[in-house]
Amino acid sequence: MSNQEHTADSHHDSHGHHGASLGTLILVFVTLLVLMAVTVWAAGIDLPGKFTNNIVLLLIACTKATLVIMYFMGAKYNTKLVQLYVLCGFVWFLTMFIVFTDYFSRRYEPVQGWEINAPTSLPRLKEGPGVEAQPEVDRILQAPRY
Amino acid sequence: MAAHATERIPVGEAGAVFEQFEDIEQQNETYILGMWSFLVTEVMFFGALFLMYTIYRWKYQNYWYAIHKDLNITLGATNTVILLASSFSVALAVYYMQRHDKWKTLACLGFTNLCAFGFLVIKFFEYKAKIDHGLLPTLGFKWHNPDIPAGPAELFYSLYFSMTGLHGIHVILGIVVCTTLMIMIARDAKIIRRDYIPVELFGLYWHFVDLVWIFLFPLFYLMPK
Repeated sequence: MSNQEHTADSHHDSHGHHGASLGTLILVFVTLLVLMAVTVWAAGIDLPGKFTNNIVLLLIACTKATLVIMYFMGAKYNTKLVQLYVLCGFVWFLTMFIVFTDYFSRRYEPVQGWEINAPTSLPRLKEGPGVEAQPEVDRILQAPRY
Repeated sequence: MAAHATERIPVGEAGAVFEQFEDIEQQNETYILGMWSFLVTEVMFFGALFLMYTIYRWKYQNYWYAIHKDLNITLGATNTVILLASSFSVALAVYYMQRHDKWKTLACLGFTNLCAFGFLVIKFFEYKAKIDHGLLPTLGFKWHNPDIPAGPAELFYSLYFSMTGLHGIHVILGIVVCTTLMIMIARDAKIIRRDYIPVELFGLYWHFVDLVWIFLFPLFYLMPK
């Protein structure tokens, strides 16, 4: 490329078209509408298994999100650095769900006031005047620890 | 380097490359990268609410399943289609802006604005129906269904209003930005005349708003057993 072509204008005209083609955009839009219809339909039927419906709905939502990010937002046509940022956002989002290790392990390490099915998250007094016996709390606190 | 610099369009003119950048490609990448890092913070912003939703839904799934049936799927689905259409038209606006087609860009952005208004109008009537039934949390929440305790119901509506409300605020901001952009394009504003980046950045924001709704719709309106 000669120096003459290196002006900003020539870049705009010859290299400015980063995104998807018109055909691709229309195809993606139609696919999104079809997926939308499929989600509503899939929500109405009762699939076997406890979580199947949830998984199907989220998978469809993730597919729609991927299409939007890749083609509408043009992540597919951007540099590797931009793609890394895109990935970072969603990896961070999933990382946050590690908090569930805490929620799921509560049953192995009971803490007073934080029992499963506790009516409140506030710590409850176990002793003191006017405090009623709490056999449920006692049972959990006296359960063997693992 | 000096010879190269003289060929540049002076800063302040349309299509100028600022001196810290090698060329227009690098400058554009920088803008887009900056926008994405903002969107990553937005992911975290909404992410906390999605996490809260997951935790409480895990705990109260049976109640929430019964409560979510009060939401109107038809209105929710209409809003989803409206947002998908507006996203598509923003993508088209970027496409035409890259080809310097001013009037088609304006038409696409105008359609996006129209969709955003339509979305808010539908959302307004949804909210109004819920508030008229006394389902606005904290401010006089009234629950009459004896089969479901009021606690999980209030939690459900708290999350419903805060998540769709935060999303709605983003839609309103989108309308403001889109209108400003349209005025600038219509008046051939200097910084926008031959630069597609402002439209592209607005597009990224708008697609993100669409992304959030893509997840909100199945999680609230289509909640499975």
